[in-house]
Amino acid sequence: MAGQGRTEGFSNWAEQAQQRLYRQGVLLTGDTHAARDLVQATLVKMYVAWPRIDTPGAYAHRIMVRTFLEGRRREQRERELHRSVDVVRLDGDPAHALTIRDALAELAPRMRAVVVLRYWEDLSVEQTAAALGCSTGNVKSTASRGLDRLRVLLGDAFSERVTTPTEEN
Amino acid sequence: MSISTDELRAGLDRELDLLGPGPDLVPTATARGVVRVRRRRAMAGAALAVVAVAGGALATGVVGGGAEPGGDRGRAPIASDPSPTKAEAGALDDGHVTPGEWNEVVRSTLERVLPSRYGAVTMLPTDPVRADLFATAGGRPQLQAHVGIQGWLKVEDPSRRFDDQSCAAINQARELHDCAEAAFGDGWFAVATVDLLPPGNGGTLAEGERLELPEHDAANPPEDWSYGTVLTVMNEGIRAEVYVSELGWDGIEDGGPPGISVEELVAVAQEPAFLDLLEVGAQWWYDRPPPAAMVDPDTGEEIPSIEVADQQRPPYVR
Repeated sequence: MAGQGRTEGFSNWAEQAQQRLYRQGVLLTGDTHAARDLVQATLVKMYVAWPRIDTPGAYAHRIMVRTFLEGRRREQRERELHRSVDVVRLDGDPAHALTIRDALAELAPRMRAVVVLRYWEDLSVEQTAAALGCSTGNVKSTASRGLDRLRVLLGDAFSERVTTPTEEN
Repeated sequence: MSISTDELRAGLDRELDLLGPGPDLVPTATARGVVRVRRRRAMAGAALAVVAVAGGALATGVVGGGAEPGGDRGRAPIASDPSPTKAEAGALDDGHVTPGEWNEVVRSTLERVLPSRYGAVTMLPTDPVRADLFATAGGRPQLQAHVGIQGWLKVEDPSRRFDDQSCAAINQARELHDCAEAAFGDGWFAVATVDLLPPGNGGTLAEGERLELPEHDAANPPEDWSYGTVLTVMNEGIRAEVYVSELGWDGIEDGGPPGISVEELVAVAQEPAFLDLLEVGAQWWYDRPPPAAMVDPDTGEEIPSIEVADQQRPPYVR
C-alpha cells in the first residue's frame, strides 16, 4: 500500500471495511461486544502492518481469524485454570428458536472460522486455508463437518437446504 | 458453490441485518496503532532486556558484574582514529548537537561503515510516529537501522556497569540464534546477536505497564515478533545499540534475520568512523530534546514515563 501515508491509507480502507469486519466478528464470536473487541484488535494490527500489506482484505481475514482463535485458546486456558463453565445446550430446548447464528456458535471455534470464511465470506478453499494457515484438505474436511453439524443443530428447517457441496465430498 | 450454501449465507445476512450497523472503531484503532508503532520504532535496549527476562536471565543492558571480555575499562575511552570525520567535525563545531546534525551524522556514518553491497543510506520519511529510522537503498535486502545511544545513568551502580555480555553468557540466558563479539581499542567491547524482538517493548514504557510475553517458540514465533540483528558497543562512558532488520520489520509476513551478519556488525563497531559517531552521540544524548509524551488513546491522558531525566554527561572524551 505504498504511495499513501500510513494513517490516510489505513483509514480510507478501514472506514470501508469495518462494517463487514464487524459482521464477521459477530459470526465468529457470537457476541456483539466480543466482536467489537475482535475488530478493534484486528484494525490495530492492520495499522501496524499497513506499509507492507498488498491486499488488505485477505490480510484482514487472516488477522481476524487468527486473533479470534488465539483469544479462544487463551480463554480456554483461563477457564481450565480458574473456573468451570456451564455450557448452554441449545438442542433439547424446543422453546428456543434456534437461529443460524446460534447454531454457528455451537461449532468449535476453528470449525466456525472455516464455515464463516468459506460460506459467509465466500472465500475459496485455498484462500480459507491461507487465512487459517492450514492445508486445503483440512479446510475441506472441516467445512464438510461444519455443515453436517449445522444440519443437525438446525433440524428440518434447514437440513434440506444445506447440503455439502460436491466439491468437498 | 451450491444453492444450499447460498441459502446459508443469505440466512446469516438476514440475521445480521437485525443487528444494525456496528460502532465506528477506526479512530480508536488508529490511535492505538500509532502508539504501538511508535513504541516499536523506539527500539531501545528494553527490547533485548525483555527477551532476556523472558528467558529467565538478567537483563542484557547494564547490570551484572561478570568478567570483562577484554581491555582496560578503567580508563577514559578514546577513539582509535584521532582525526574526526567531516560529519563529526561539523556536528560538534559549536559543542552541541542538534537533531538535524545527529541524523545526518548517523546517516553518513552508516553509509560509510555498512558493507558496500547495501548501497546508500537515507533517513526514512517522517510518519505520525517518531521516525529515527534509516534505510539502505540499492542493495538487497533493504535494511533499516536505528541507532540508540546513551551514557550511563546516575542511577546505575558504576560497579555494575558492565554486564557479562559475552556470547557464551547471553547464550546461557536465552536462546541465541547467532552471536559474535570483539574487545578492541582501549576498553571497547562489541557484541552482535540475532534475536527475536518483541513488538511494542522497545520504547518508553508507561509506569507500571506490564508486557505480555507469549510462550516462546523459536520455530513458530509470535505473529508480530521479528528477527533483528543487534549490535551493542560499550565502554566505560557510553553504550550504543544499533538495531538492524529488513525494511518494514513491523509487518508480520517475514520474520527472518536481515542479511547482514553478526560478524559484519562487529566489524562495523571497530570502524574509526563508527567510533566517531559515538563521540557525537555522547553529546547528542546530552543535548537531545526529551521524547514526546505518549498519550493514552482511551483517556487522552499523558502516560507517565519511567525514563530518567536527570542524566549525567558521559565521560567520553578524546
